[in-house]
Amino acid sequence: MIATRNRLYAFMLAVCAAGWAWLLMHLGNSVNVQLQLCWIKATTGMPCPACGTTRAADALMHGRLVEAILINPLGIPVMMIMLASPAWILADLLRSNNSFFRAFGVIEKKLSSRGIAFALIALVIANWIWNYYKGY
Amino acid sequence: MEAQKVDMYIMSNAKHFESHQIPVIRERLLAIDDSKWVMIQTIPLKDPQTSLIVSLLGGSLGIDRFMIGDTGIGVGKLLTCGGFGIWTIVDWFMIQGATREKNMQKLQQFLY
Repeated sequence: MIATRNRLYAFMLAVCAAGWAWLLMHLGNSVNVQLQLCWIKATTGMPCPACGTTRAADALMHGRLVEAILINPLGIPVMMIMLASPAWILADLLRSNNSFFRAFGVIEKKLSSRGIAFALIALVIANWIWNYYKGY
Repeated sequence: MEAQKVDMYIMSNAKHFESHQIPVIRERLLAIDDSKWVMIQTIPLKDPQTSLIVSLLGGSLGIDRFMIGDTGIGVGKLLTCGGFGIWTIVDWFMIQGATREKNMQKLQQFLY
């Protein structure tokens, strides 16, 4: 875990800003993204578990939930994180609080517990196989 | 703690920590009680070189970060194709330092 509150907040805001910049650049046109940034796809030709997330987020932004799930279900948690975390962080900064920092620590610990970790790994692998058959 | 034990620990574990941390670790180990020796010896430290190999092979999936215990960052890398590939490359250079920092955090619980 990132050790201090301010470092975590700066890091999360930077990541979310990059994510929003990328998404807004390709909004409505995500099917035609030419830039190949996925290492796994570039080297092996196989999609990675997250391939299709931009298209799924784009579909979500246009209110097409079912289409987003069919493209890549990982688009939903990505959009939730990108929407909720900047708002939560800004609220924390305004109130001089550290609730996001504490919640991040708790979630990180929960995700690291054996049962949840194995279940999530299985889901990601299943999604990866599904992605492969979809041919992304 | 005895200087001989401390030096033995430093010699066998120096690669797991940043070089600037070694004098502090030595100083603290000399100051703490002998009863903590068994616990300190059994702390599972991660090898930075292993992290680098994992980062080179599985960095796009965030496996390197999961391995050292940075689950939050690992999830971030996994959900974004390794941070659009850029984060993967940055981590090839950062992961050894991050592993040493994590090892220091684990040891610190017993030093203070």
